[in-house]
Amino acid sequence: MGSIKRRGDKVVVRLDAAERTVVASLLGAVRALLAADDDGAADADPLAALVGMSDGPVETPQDPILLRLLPDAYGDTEQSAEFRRLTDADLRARKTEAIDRVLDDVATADRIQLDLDEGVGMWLQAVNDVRLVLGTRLDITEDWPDARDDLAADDPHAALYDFYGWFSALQDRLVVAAMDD
Amino acid sequence: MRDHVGVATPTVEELEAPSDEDVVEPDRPWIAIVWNDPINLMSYVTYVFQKLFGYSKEKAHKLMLDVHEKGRAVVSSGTREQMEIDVARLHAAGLWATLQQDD
Repeated sequence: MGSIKRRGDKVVVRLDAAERTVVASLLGAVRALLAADDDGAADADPLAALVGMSDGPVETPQDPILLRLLPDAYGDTEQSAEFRRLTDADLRARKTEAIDRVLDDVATADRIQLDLDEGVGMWLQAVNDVRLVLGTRLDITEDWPDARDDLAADDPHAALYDFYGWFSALQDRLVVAAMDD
Repeated sequence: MRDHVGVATPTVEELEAPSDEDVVEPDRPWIAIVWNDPINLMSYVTYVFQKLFGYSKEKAHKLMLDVHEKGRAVVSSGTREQMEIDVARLHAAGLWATLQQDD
């Protein structure tokens, strides 16, 4: 992996072209997931739309991956549904905003300077969402490196594990750089 | 890397029985709970607790270990509205969180 270093009150990320392509494609995939199941019929009420509320119920995602990105807030189904109705659009927007920020960063420079608060936070959020998607898809456990090693050489899941490992390393190095004081 | 927080995606059955809405007692505070999962990194969970709640590194680390070892930890408490905001922020950060009235 390229380098991730703390420089004063910034975290400086350098990724090579191939790495930036990987970041862009996987973030793009998560972005599409967040947009796809959007309740397009919601928000006939423009005031509700303005504040990110739906005036009708927002369905709980059936897809476990989307449910991991947009989890239930209560143990109780009804309370979760009401919370989701009020907050689903906002949560999707916050996640999408972070993804767009990183997509913009990797498209414009190979040396990216991130503010400790906003910039690093957006990167951590977006990179972690990629990890949530891959990890849920792989039904990951703490022993995942063993599961990866046990795969047949031509198993297509190997690539997913490798992406998962790469994004995990990226995430960890960003956290370490951000917390270096 | 093996220092992942082990977070078994809690299924609905694993979550605690919801407090009964009909007998809400206003004097009992609401709590935000973070659940263990196998994806979120221990380092990141600690970072999130520091950033979102302003906790010291020590307190954030202790809460992260509670999540990892006990399966869950209460990370904040207050009014229901405050806990809904905290849970929304935790969800934005990618942590698995729920709120309930304290019992």
